[in-house]
Amino acid sequence: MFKKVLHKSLLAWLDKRIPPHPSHALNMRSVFILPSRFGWGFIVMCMCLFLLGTNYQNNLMLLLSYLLLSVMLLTLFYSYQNFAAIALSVSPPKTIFANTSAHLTLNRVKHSDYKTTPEGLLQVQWLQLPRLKDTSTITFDIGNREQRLTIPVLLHARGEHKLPRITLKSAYPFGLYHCWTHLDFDVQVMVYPEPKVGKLGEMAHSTQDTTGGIEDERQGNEDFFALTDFIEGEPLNRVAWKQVAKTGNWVVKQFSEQKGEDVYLSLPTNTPLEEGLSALTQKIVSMQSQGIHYGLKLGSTTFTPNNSITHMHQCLRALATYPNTPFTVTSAKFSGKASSSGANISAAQGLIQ
Amino acid sequence: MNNKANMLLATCFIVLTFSLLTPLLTWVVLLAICAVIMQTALYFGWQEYNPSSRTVNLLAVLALIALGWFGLSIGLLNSMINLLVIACSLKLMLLSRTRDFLQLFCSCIFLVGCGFIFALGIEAWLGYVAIIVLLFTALSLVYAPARSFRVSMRKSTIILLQAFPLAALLFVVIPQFPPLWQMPTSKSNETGLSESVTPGDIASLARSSDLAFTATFEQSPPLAEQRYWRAMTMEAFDGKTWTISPRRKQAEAQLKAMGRNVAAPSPASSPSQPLISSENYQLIVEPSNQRWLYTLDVSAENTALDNPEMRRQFNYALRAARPIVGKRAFYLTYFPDTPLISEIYDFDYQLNIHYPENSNVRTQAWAKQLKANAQSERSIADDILRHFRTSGFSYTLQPNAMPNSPIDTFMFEAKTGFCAHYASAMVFALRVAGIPARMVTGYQGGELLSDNVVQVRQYDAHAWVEALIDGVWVSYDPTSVVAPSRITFGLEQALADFNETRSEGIFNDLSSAELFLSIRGWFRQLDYQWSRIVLGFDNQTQTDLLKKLLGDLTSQKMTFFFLSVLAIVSIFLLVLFFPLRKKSTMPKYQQIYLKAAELIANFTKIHRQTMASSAYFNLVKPHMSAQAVSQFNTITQEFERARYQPDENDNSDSRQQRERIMKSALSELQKSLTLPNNTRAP
Repeated sequence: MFKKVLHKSLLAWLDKRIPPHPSHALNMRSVFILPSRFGWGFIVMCMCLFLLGTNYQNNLMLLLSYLLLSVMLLTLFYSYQNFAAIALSVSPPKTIFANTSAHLTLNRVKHSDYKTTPEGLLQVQWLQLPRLKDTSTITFDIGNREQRLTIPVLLHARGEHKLPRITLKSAYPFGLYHCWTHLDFDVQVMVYPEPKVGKLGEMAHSTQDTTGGIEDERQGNEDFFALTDFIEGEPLNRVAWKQVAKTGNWVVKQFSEQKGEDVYLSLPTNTPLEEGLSALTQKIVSMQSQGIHYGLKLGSTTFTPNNSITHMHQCLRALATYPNTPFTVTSAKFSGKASSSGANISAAQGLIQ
Repeated sequence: MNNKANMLLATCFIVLTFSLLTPLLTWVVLLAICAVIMQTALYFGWQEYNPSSRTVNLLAVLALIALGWFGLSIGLLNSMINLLVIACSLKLMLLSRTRDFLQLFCSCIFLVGCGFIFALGIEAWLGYVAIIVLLFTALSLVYAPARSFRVSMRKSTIILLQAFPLAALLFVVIPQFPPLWQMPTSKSNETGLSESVTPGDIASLARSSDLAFTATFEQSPPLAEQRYWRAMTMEAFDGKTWTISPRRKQAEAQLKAMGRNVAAPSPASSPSQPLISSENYQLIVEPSNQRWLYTLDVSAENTALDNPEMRRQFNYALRAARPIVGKRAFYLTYFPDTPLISEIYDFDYQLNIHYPENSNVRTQAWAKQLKANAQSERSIADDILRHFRTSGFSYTLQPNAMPNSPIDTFMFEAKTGFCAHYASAMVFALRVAGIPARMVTGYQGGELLSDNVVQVRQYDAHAWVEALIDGVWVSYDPTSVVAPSRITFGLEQALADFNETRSEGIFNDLSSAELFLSIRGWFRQLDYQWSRIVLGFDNQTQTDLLKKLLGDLTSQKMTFFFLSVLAIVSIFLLVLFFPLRKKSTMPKYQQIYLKAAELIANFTKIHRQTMASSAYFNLVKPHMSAQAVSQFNTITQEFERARYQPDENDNSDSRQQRERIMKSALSELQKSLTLPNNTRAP
C-alpha cells in the first residue's frame, strides 16, 4: 500500500520534472547521474591505494590514487555530457493488437546544445512500477550510427493506453557512473482486441438478406486464393507454416470469398464479450486483406460497408473501446495532460516486455 | 563480453606481471603466462570456451597450498603480491561476465600500485602510466564496443591527460600523513651495507652503481676527502668477520627500556663546545629496507624542520625509526671538526679492546712489537699507517681469497686488498697494542651532481677505523695512505691507478666516451630532480611550497587558498563541459515569434510543431480571448513579413521598428494570457 503511494508520488514528480512530450532533448533537468556499484568500488580502491601509499611513504602510489580520483571526477562530466547529448523523437506504432508484439521507434535527432554525438551502450527499458523481475532491457550501441531505437511493445488489454515512461541508461565511458532518465513520449495507443478465430454474430448483408447465421472461418465457402507477406497482427493460424519452414519467409494464406456482397458484422449474442470482439477483429483484418467490403454494427454505432484502411481502423477502434464510444485521436492527443497518468499506468500494468 | 577488451586487459596483465618479477615466484609467473595464452587462444578463436570453473577452482586450491608452502620464506608483502597475481590469473581464465572484467581491472590497477613499491624511477612511472592508459582503454571498450581501438585509446588518453593536472594539484594540496601503521617489507629486498663485514663483502657492493643516497647542501658540500658518510660501527670480531656487537645492541635495548637517553649528546646541544660552523643538508635515501642513515661526522637532526622519526645512537650513528621502504628525505646538520667524545668510556673501552687471542698470531706479534717501541698511543697508529705506506701494499678489488688467518695473510703475504682489509688489519693491530678501536662502515666521497648536490652510489661503500684515544674517538683511514686517489677522486680513479677497472665488459670503452658521459649525466640530473621533486615531496616540502606561495600560513589564508583551488577546478570543469548558452544566431523577429508561440502552446496545449505560422494562428484562434488573438495576429503578420519579404529587411531602421512592435505585442500577449478572467473559449 505504502509502495503504491510512493510510486504514484514518484510518477507525479517525474511528470512535473520531465513533462510528457513527443520529443526529448536531454538536459540538466531530465538526466540523473550517480556512481555505479563499480564506481563505488573504484573509490574504495583509490582509498586503499592512498592508505598503502601513506604507509609506505610512497609518493608515486599517492599520485596514482589522486590520478584515479581525478579520473573519477572527470568521468562524471564526461558521462553527463555524453548522455545529455541524446535527443529523441518518437514514432508511435501504427497498429497494436492485444497480446501481439508491436514496435515503438525512437528516432535520434540532433541535440541543439551539443555538437558531439553520443556514444557507447544505451540500455532501454520500460519503466515498471513496481519493478518486475523479468523486465528485460534492450541494449543499443548508439556509437554504431544507429539512427533509431526500436522497442517492442506488448499489451494485454484492449482499449486506449498511454504508454509508460521509458528508462534510458548509459554507463559510458568507464562504467563508473550510471546516467539515466525516464522519458514520457506522450504516446497514446489504441490497442485493438487480439485477433482470434471464433463465433461471429449474424452477418447482415447490405441487401437486407440474411444468410447463414453463424459462420466460422473454416466453414466459410472460401477457397485458397494467394500467399501474401505476413503483416504483424495477422492471425497465426493463417500463416503458411510449410512455406515458412521451407523458405524462411513469413507468408499468409489468403482465401477468396465471394466478392461484391457487402456484409455487416456484429457481435455474437451467446459468447463472452472478449471472445466475440477477438473474432470480429480477426474477421475484419482478414476481410480487409481480401478486399471485401464490410460494415460493422456495434451497440448503437454502425459503420457502413467500405474497404478503406481508415474504415478498418475506425472499426477496430470501436471494437477496442467497446462498450464506450471511441473518441478521435486528435482530441485524445491534445487532452493528453488532462487524463491522469496514474490511472493510465495502472491500466498499462498488464504490459510486459 | 567483448573479446577486444579482454585481450587488451590480458596484455596489460602480462606486462604488469613481468614488471613485478622480483617479488614473484617462478611458478606464479608461469601461471600468469598460461592464463594469458588461454585468453589469446580465445581471442584468435583457436579455442571456443573458457575452462570450466571446476578446473579453475581445483587450480586455485593447488595454488593456495603452494603459496602457503612458499609464503613463509618470502615474507608477507611478497606473498600478498603473489596472491594477487594468482587471483588475477585465475580470474583471467574464467573471464566471461562484465563483472569479472571489472574485478580484474581493479586488481590490475592495484598491481600497478604494488609496482611502485619496487620501482621508483621516472621510467617506471612512465611505463606504469602507459599501462594505466591501456587499462582504461580496455575498460572503455566494454562500454563502447563499436569504437575502434585507436579512438578508444585516444579518448582514454585525453581523459587521463586532463586528470593529470588535477592529480598534481591534489598531490600538492592534500596533507602528507605519517605512516598510519607498520607495513610488511620484503626481506629479500634489502640493499646497501650489511651488518657484518667479512673482508670481501664491500667489494660485491663495488660492482653496483645503484644510487645509495643523494645529499643536497644548503651552501657547499665539504671536500671529497672529508666526506665520510658514517652508517654503523663494527665492534665484535671473531678472527674473520666484523659484526655489530651484540653487547652494544643489548645495552642500548636495556637503556632504552629503562627510559634513559640512549643517544650520544647532540653536538648542537652541548654547551661546552662553542659552535664553530655548521652546515644544513638534506639526505634523500633510496629505499634500502634498512634503518641505517648515512651521515657526515658529526651530524644531528635538524630540529628546525619536520623530520621523519630517527634516533641517535651511542656511536654517533643515526638510525631511522622505521625501515626505509620509499625514498625519504631527512634533514640534518653537519658539525665539522667536532670531536666524537666517548660518553661511556668504560663500556666503549671494554667492548673495543678484545680480540681473539688464538688468531692471526703473526700480526699480534708485530703489533706488540710496535707497542714496545712507541712513545704514545697516537704514534702507534701513525706507525701502522706508515707501515701500510712503505711496505709495498697495493689496492685492488679482486684480492685472493684468504680463508685462514685472513689478517696475517693480508699483512705478510698478499699485501693487497681494499678498504675492508686495511681497516680490519689496522683495528686488529690497534687492539693488540692496547688501544680500543673499531671498524666503521659507510660510504666515502660521492659524485658532485651540481654545486651543492652529492650523489653517493653503492660502489662508494667504504670502511675505516676509529681509535679511542684520550676519551675521544679518532678516525684513521688506512686506505687513504695506500690509494689516496680513492679518497679524493673516487673508486674508479683509484682502480685506474692500479690498472684495474670496476666492471668488466665491452661497455668500458663506451662508458668513457664523451657523448655517453653527457647522456648519463643528463639522465642522472633528471633522476635527481625526479627524486627531489616528486619522490622526496613530503610534509616539509609541502609546507615550504605553501609558504612560498602564501607567505605565513594562517588558517584564514589556508581556507581561502583551498576555496580558491576548489573554485578554479570547478570553473575549469564548467567551461570544459557545459554548453554555454550560445548567442543565438536566429534573427530577432524569429526569436520573438517563437517565444509567443511557446506562450500560446503552454496556454492552449496545442503545439505548433512544424505548422506554418498562419495555419497555427488559425488553429489556436478559437482558444484565446480576442485581446490575445489580436496581439498574436500582429506578431504573426510581422513575422511573415520579415520572413517572406526579405528585401524590406535591409533597412536597419525598419528592422528595429518591427522588433519594437513585436516586443510590445509580445508583452501585451503575455499579459492577456495570464489575466485571471481570461477563460478559454469553448
